[in-house]
Amino acid sequence: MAWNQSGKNSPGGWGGKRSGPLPPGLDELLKKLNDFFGGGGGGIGLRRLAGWLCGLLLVLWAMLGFYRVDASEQAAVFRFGQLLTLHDAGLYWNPPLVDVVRRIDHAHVEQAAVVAPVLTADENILAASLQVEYRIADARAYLLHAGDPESLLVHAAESALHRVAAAFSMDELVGAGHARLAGEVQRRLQADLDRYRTGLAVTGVNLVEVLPSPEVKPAFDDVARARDDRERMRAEAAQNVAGLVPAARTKAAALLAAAETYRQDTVNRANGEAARFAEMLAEYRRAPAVTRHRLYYETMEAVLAETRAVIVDGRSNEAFSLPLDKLVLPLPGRTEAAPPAKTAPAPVREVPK
Amino acid sequence: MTMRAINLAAILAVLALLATQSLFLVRANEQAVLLRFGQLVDDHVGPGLHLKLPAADEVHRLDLRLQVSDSGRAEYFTAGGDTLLADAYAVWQVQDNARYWLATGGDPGRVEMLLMPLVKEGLRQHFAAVGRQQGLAGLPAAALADVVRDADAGALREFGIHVVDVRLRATALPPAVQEAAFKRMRADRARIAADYRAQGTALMAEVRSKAEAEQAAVLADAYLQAERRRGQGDAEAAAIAARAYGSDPEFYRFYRALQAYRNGFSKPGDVMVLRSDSEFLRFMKKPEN
Repeated sequence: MAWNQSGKNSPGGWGGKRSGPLPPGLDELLKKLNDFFGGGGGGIGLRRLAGWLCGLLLVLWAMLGFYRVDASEQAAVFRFGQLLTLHDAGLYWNPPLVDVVRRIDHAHVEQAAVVAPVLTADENILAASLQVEYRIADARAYLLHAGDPESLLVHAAESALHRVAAAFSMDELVGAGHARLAGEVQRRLQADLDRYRTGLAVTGVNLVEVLPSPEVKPAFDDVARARDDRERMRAEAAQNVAGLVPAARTKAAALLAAAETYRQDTVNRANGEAARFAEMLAEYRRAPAVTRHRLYYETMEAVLAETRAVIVDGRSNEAFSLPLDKLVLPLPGRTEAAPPAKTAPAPVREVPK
Repeated sequence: MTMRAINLAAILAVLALLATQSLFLVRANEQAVLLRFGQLVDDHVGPGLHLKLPAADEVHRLDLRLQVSDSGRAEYFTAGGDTLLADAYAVWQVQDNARYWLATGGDPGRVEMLLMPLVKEGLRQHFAAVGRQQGLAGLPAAALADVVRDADAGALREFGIHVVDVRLRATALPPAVQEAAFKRMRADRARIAADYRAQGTALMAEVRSKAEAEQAAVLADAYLQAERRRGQGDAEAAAIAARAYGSDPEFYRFYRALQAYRNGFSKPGDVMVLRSDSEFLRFMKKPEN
C-alpha cells in the first residue's frame, strides 16, 4: 500500500499494468521517482520515504520466509534447483524467492485404482479391479528418483496383478483366492517400487472385485440363478412335504385310538358275557333240566319266528331233493312262488311266518 | 537530468537482460547439456545456478529420473506356433547425456520409438522359446532379465539410456482364440448351471422320498401297535371267557350253541329244514313222552 501514500487520487496498486494513458497518480509517482534518482534538492523527505519503503519490503520478504512443517510432513528445500535439505516437523525460515520449499505429506494415504483384464491359469478371462493404497515413505527418492512415481506404481501393479493372477484358477479367484492374490500383488509391487526407488510405500492392496468379462457375464449370471433355483427347489420340496409326516402321525394316533377302543370294547364285552353266563349258570344249577329245556325252546322259538321252517319226514327213505333255491327266492308270504317240487311228492309243508 | 535517468534505466534493463540470458538454473533431478554454436561443449552441468555466454550458448536440461514407456499391444509367437498379445513397458533412465541428447534431442517420446523395437525384439526371442501357457502367464523372470540386459546394452550404445526393467503389463489371447475361450467359458458355466438345476431336482425327490419313508414308517409302526393292542384285547377277552366258562364247560357249550343258533338263523328268508322226528318236534307228534 506504500505507493498510495504518494498521491491521494492514485487508482490503486496494480494500475500500472493496464494499457492506455497513464493515470495521473502514477504520472506523479514517476516524477517523484525521477527526482529521487536524480538526487534533486527537495529529495530529503522522499529519500526517507524510499528508505522506509525498502525497509518495509525487506521485512515483508523476510516474514514470507517463515513456514511450519507439520508432524505428517517433510519439507524439501531447493536453492537454485539443488536440494539443500529436508526438514522434519518444526518452524523454519528460508529466504523466499531464493529457496523453493516443497512440502511432502508422508502420512497421507493416496489411492490408485487399477482395472485390468486378467488371464487365469485355466485360461479364463476375468476383469479384476484393484485398489492400491500408498503413501510417500522417502521424500528424497520420491522427488528426485522417479519421473512419475504414480505412473510407475500403476504399471508395476498391473504387472504384478497379471503375473499373480496367472497362478490362480478362475474359481479360486472368484472364490477364496482374493486375500492371497492381494497379498502377493502387494509383495511384488512393493519389491518393484523399492527397486525403482520411487519412495512410495504400499500400505494396502484390495481386490475390489473379480468379474467375468462382459462377453460371458450372462453365463455366469445363469449359474448364480441356477444355484438360487436349487435352493428354491429345496425349500419348495420341504414345504410341499411338510404336512406329510404330521398327517401320518395324526392318522397313527387315530389308528391307535381305534385299537384301544376295540380292546376295551372286547374286554368289556367279554366281561359282560362272562357275567351273564355266571348269572345263568347259577340259575341253571338250581334247576338244570328245566332251565335247559326252557332255554332250548326259547331259542328255537325265537329262531323260527325269524325264519321259515320246512319239515321233512324223517322215516321216509325216499330220496328227494328239495328245490332250495325256489324256497329261498320268494319273499315270505308269497305262497305261489314256492310250487311243490315234481320229484318231491313227499309231504313238504311250508310254514310261512 | 531526465536523459541521465533514462540512460541509467536503459543500462539497468540491458544488464537485466544479460543476466537472464547468461544465467540458467538446473534443478535437482536434472542435468544440462551446454552447446556453443551448436557444438556440444559440456554434457554434465549439474544442479544449481550456472553461467553461459548469451547468444552463443544453448542449454538443454535433461530429466535424469526414471521414466516409463509403454510398448503398446504387440503380437508374439510362442514355441508351439500360437500367437498371443502382450503389453510391455520399460523403465529407463538417461545415463549418457551426450549420446542421449544427440539421439533424441532430449525428447522422451523419441525414446519410446527407439527403445521399444529393441524391447520387442528381445521379447520376441523369448516368447518363441516358451509354450503358450507360460507365455500367457508372463515370461520367466530370467527371460525378462535377459531382455533387460540386451535392451540395456543396445540402448546405452545407441542412445545413451539405461534400461532398468522390462515387464509385461498384460497378456491376452488373439481375438479368434479369445472368442473360443469365451465359448468354452460359456459352455463350462452352462454345464455348472445344469448341474445345479439337476441337483435341485434330485434334492426335491430326495426330500419327498425321505418324507414319504418317514410317513410310511410312522404308519407301519402305528399299525403294529394298534394290532398289538387289539391282540391284547382279544387275549384278555379269551382269558376272561376261559375263567368264566371253565366252571361248567358242558353248560357253556349248550348255552353258547343256543346263542349261536339265535344269532345265526335270524335273517328273514332263511329256511330251516326240520326232520319230523327231531327233538324239537317231538311233542308235535304226541303230547307225552
